[in-house]
Amino acid sequence: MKLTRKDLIPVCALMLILTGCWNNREIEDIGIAVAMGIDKVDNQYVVTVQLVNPSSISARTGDSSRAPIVTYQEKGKTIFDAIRRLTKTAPRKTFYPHLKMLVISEKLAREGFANSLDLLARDPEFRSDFYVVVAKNHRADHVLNVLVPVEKIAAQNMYSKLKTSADVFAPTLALTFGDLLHDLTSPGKQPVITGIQLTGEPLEGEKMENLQRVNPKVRLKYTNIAVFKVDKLKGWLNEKESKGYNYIENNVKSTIVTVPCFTDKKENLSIELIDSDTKLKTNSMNSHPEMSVSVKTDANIAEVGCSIDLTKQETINKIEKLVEKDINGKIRSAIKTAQQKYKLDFLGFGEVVHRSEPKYWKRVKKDWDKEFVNIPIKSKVRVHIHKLGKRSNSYINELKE
Amino acid sequence: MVFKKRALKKLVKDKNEADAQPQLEDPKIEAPPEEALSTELNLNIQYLQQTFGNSSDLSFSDFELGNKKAVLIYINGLVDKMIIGHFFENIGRFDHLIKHSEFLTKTIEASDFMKQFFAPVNQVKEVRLYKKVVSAILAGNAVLLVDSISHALVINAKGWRDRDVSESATENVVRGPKEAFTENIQTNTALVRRKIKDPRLWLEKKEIGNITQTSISVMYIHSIANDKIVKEVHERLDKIDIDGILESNYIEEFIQDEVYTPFPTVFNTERPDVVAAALLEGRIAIFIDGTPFVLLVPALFTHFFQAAEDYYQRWDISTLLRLLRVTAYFISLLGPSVYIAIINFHQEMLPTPLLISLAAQREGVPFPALIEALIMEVTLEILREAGLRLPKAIGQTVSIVGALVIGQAAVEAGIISAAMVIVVSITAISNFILPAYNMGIAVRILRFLFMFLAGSFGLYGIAAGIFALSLHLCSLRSFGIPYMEPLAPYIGSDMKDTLWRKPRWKLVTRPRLLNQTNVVRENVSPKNK
Amino acid sequence: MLENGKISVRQFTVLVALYTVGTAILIIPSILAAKAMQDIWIAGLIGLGSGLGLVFFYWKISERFQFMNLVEILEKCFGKWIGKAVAFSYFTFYIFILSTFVLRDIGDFMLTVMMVETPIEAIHIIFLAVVLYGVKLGLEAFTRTTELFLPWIVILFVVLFITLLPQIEFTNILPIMENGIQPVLRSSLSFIVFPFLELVVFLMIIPYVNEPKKTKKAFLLGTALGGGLLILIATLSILVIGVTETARSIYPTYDLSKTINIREFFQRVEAFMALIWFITVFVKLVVLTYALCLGMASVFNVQDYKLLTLPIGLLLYIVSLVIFPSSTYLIEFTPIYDFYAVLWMLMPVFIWLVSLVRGKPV
Repeated sequence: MKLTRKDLIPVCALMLILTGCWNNREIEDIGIAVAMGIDKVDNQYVVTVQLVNPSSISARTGDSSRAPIVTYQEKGKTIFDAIRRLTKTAPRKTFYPHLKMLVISEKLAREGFANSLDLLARDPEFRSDFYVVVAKNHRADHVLNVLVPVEKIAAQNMYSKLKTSADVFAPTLALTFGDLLHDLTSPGKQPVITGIQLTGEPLEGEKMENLQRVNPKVRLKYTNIAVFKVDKLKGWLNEKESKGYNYIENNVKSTIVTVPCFTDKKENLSIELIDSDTKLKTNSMNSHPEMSVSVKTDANIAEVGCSIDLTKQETINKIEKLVEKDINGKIRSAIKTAQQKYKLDFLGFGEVVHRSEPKYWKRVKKDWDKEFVNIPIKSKVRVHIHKLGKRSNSYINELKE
Repeated sequence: MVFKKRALKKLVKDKNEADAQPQLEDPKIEAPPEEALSTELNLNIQYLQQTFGNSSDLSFSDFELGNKKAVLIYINGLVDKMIIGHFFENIGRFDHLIKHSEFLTKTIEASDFMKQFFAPVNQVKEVRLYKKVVSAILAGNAVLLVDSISHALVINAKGWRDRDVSESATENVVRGPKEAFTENIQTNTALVRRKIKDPRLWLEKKEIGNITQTSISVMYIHSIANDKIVKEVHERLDKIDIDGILESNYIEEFIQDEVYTPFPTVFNTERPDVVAAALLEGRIAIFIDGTPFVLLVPALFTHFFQAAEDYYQRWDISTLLRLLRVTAYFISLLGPSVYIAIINFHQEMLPTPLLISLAAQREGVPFPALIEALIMEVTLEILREAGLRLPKAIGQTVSIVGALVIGQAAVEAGIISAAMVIVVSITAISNFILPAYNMGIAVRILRFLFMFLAGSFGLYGIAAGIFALSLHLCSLRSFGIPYMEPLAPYIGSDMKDTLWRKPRWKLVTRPRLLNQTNVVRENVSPKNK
Repeated sequence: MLENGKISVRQFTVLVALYTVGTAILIIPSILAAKAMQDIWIAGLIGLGSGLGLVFFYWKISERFQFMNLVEILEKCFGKWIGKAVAFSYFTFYIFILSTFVLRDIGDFMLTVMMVETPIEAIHIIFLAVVLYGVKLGLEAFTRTTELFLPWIVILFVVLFITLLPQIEFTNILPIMENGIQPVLRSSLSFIVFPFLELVVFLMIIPYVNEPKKTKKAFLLGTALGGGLLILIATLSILVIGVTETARSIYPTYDLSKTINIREFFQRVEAFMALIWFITVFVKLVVLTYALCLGMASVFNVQDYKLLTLPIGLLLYIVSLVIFPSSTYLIEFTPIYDFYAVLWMLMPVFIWLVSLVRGKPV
């Protein structure tokens, strides 16, 4: 038997018929899910999915009278169960590769969320690059139901807000789902997740009115970092500790440090950190366990609120010392919280030990958190100020009395 | 080699069919064409009139040559009236000389005198067979028959109106020679010979077409062109058995290696400079009388991306243009199919804002993306064909109506999404960038196939299509040379003038598979000296 | 001669390299990471070293028998009928099974991550159709195609590598040799079996290289290039997505390309990156199917191996659908397969021994 070219004709014809089956879904028939909230009520998961309403967002056909997003909610024994039940209420099949945010309610976080997330790791529709946050003091759906101006898609708004704040301010943490999975399984680090909060009455945020106000009544705001023991929320860090955590984790890209002026204690100086590099080290753990954090930072003077002479190296040295002290204080407080308050290694020292002292690690791996509490941790900060901005001395120095 | 066998079979089949059909020659002809001319003039004339069916454009001019009756036979329109006029003028002037010269009448025939008389000016040939006489007349000669003499004089009086050498209509250049071939084979070969002044430029003539008797010339540079390929070309040309050759494609379809492929394996051009360059590379040109398009063989895939202009602009510009062309080729091949695949199967590949924008555009479009794309593509092809065949002025109107009215109206009516119009337009424009029209058509055909593949299997289908296409391309050969050479098989030294073009002084060697012996281009590089 | 075409030494190298990368690129990081953990690169290097030794041994066999093809070698070695029988079982129980695995791998991959709802039959038919078309066109045509694909693979791989550079965390490969050498060695065994052991099919192709004597370097170079690429990919997985995720993922390379994200602009390109292994899997399956057809043709004295393309293709299609009932089965089967394959590895050794006993052949 010989395949001839004529045989190709029915094959091609067949292809035409086959078109339109299987994975073929038209782009307008999918509900683009951008955020997902998970809550737990009566042993059932409540899944809230935020879908985009494309026609009210698109620049050309933009119809501002309709809400840019819409949320659907369903209960189910598992997440997948709930998602499939969504088809009863949602007009289109939900589509998850564009998921930006996963919001876990604080209640679920306190009870432990790990068992609910397998679907997100297993299903090929989920990518692992969406951010995970905990809704502090709120239900997850409340967070997802808020309409926000400027970036109309609420999830996109949350996504870019978290990214920017983690980049430039630093008490928040842009944690992707992939990172979270790593933290959950790594024996040398306990997970931490950033919290998100509503300001104002949650129900007000659902109205279009919230979009039309110059000063929206309800806003979404990131708070500090939550500490977990594996998947159970143990408590919240304050801003100082959160920043300290980020210094230790080498997450700081750019942030500011405000220190009191040494000439006038009431006024302040703002220093902008432009680059920061952290190294965690261990010393021969078997004989003399000790760990250390060393931070090297490059900074610029951003704002001067008092009369000081910036043209003198001595002044700069003084400022550097102040900044170092400030950063060190944050780091110490983070370490102190970890070792004394929560007795959990959410700082990731375990991983450093694992890498540098695998033998010792094998011994303590099981009870690392207990071991961690007693190990002294040194910290050292070195700040180097480079630039003064476009002025040398401030005009404040010359102010008329 | 399967394809070769098939081509041969086809040839044989054609021949049999031709044999089975009644011969086109008129059975009433009394004297068989093999026969020699009769001494009796009337008989000859009668025979010729019969042969030509008393065609009105065949003229017989009677006159007396010496004491004998003579007749000059030619076809009106094929001969130069001036030459005929001169002929009779001269006859009149020398008539008494011929009549009274003893020398002439006694020792030699009048026709011999005529032969010597005209020889210096025009080509004069003596023929003795009817067949030869007939073909001489058909070729545009005037034939002189004299009573009682059994041979005829063929006087070259060819002179018909030809199109002048003008600018190329299909292959334009900004910089470079503007002249293009005409329909006259002699003009065409001369145009090339003017560029290559070397005795090694050989020209072999054939006549193909049982009825049309079309002149075909095979031109190559001896010692540069590969002898095997030259032989192969001759063999393939000799196998052709057809009633008529009117255009180069008649020949192309007979001599190409593979019939079942959308890709051209014979190159055609109407630019003498392109032919000259190809000859210098060792390729072979086939001239066909009656068409300005000259065939070049072997033709490889990369040749179709080389425009004449590439060699007349600086190498860096040419290289960028080549890369642009290759990119456009891929866009033109895969544009709509990748769009369909992504929009129907791989929505996760789109950035979120783009996805939302596309989804908003598609909202309300009643067709699936594949059907939408098909509608647009078919519309576009219709517009294109319509514009191509129409007079220029109307053609423009068609494109304006098509592009603006149909495109815009369709989008505004919500039948077609704007993104699809963009994709289809880019695809169409990309297609125009290819210098070779026939290669562009190949892509146009394949584009539809890829659209179906994308519509049923997404990118996976496209990948499978690309694999099949690559396999097909790699299995092709042009006169024994692998079609994808020098990409596959990879020949490093030949890459210099394919996807990119190196500076001229680096183009030192000729393509390796085309010529085995005379590889180095003489005196190309100043560094060689 | 069953095959009239000839390929060049260079083409042979490319063929070997892409064949080596084959399906391994998809799953080898996961297999290696499962036992060797962050020492994946050590396991890789050990595996590659032994693989090169193995390839050298294959070549030696080929050389000893004056570059005959495998079936002819077996016939020479064991006599005509036993030789044919051995060749038949070898091609049926090793090469054929291997081919079905390869086909199934691409089907499973497509079904798991890219086109979940499409029936695997359709995926297999399309892929197999193209492969059979390639086999039918012959050695020369598909080798040239392989050559044509090479630049694409290089480009895609370079893009993959460069775009992942910012995400590399070198600390991921520490500590070295945490659990001693043993798990590393066990991993490297998997690496030898898959893909280096499978290079034995090139004994069917060496005879059709225009200068068989020069194939030694080409064979080793191709293997080293392919193996090197695999080690690079595996190490990259560890460096970017970490040990645990690499080991847990079924297709770590795909996950790896999912993480590409340059400034929120160049991202979500994994479907294009998948072209890398589409190509390599395609090359591998074409070579395997070709060797299978050629081998069966010489066993049964069929003059034109192309006649066997369709029946063998149909068998491949059917067996590939029923060979694994589930993904778990495949995961469980992998270690067993290692030993099964090593069993077949013994055959070249046996050939060698027989030829030693019998003295210099021919």
